[in-house]
Amino acid sequence: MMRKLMILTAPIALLASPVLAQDAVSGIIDIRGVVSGRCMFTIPNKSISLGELSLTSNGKLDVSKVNGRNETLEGWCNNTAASMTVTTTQLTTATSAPTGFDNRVDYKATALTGSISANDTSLSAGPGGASTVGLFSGSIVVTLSSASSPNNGLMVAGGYSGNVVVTLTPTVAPPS
Amino acid sequence: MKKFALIAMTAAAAIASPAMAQTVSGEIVLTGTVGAKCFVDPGAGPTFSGSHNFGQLDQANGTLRTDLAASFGTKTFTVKCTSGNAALSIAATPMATSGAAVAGYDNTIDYNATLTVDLAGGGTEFVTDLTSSAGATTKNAGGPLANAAGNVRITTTGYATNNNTDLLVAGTYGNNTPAGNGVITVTISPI
Repeated sequence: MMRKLMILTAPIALLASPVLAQDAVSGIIDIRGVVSGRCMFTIPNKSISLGELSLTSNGKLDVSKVNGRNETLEGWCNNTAASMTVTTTQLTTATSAPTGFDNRVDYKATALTGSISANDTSLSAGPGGASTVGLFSGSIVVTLSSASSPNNGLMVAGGYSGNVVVTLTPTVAPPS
Repeated sequence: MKKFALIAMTAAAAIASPAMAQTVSGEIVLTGTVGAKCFVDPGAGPTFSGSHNFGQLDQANGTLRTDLAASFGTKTFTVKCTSGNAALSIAATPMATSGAAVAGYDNTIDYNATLTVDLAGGGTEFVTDLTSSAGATTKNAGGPLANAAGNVRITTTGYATNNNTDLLVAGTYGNNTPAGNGVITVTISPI
């Protein structure tokens, strides 16, 4: 009797057990720094020479010599809460003024950057109210106006001086 | 089962306390001048002028009138000065006529002229010139002139001939003819 060998062959598929794909892993490194709120004047000083302050017709204050005069500072602030104030000091001369005379010129100074302005009058001591300028970089135009003398009298002869101080203040904000 | 460790790393960064945000200032310096000057008001010009016509200078007896000072009165002007002081000067010349004077006659009338100014601090200052002495008489006001109308006044006194019995030679006296005849010159300068 003949044996038949049946060989069952079956395809032997290599069934490799799949190696589980490794999930991506990640690490996180926090890094941090800070930028302090700052303001700076890149052009911090200017001067305005007003010339002869009195009218040749009557010796009284010529307001046209003051009103409208302007100069431009340059500065920037990097803080959204930065503010600007103006402090004016009247023009005076050392010689005293007897009755009928004046030795002082008062005026208003307005500082304008973009659309934000702050002002002060020398008629009141101390700075004017603060205006929020926020982040800005550019020109600050200071313009004089409302010139007057206390008694509308004859202006005493001499050299007169005063000044306008523009102050930029960044508000301190804790770093986030 | 593998675990995935998630390592959160934080940088051990030194956290510097924020520097105090600084305030910065920009300054604009203003300068101007008021020149020392005097000027006549109104008009702000440099000169003022006046005149006085005595008419007849002699009395009915031919001698000099005695009321010439009252006739001249006070000539008032307004001068304003921006300086703290002013230099005052007055020079008066006799009134004379060209006709020669013989003994008992005179053709020249002398007098005194006084410049008076009001001071800003109150009070006045004055300076007087005599026609009998040549040149001007000067003086400082000692303070600023008052800023007021009529702060400068000129008066005269002491009209005289050489002898009070002298008859006046007929003719026109003074009138700055020739130039300088019978003229009071006042100068006010800022100092």
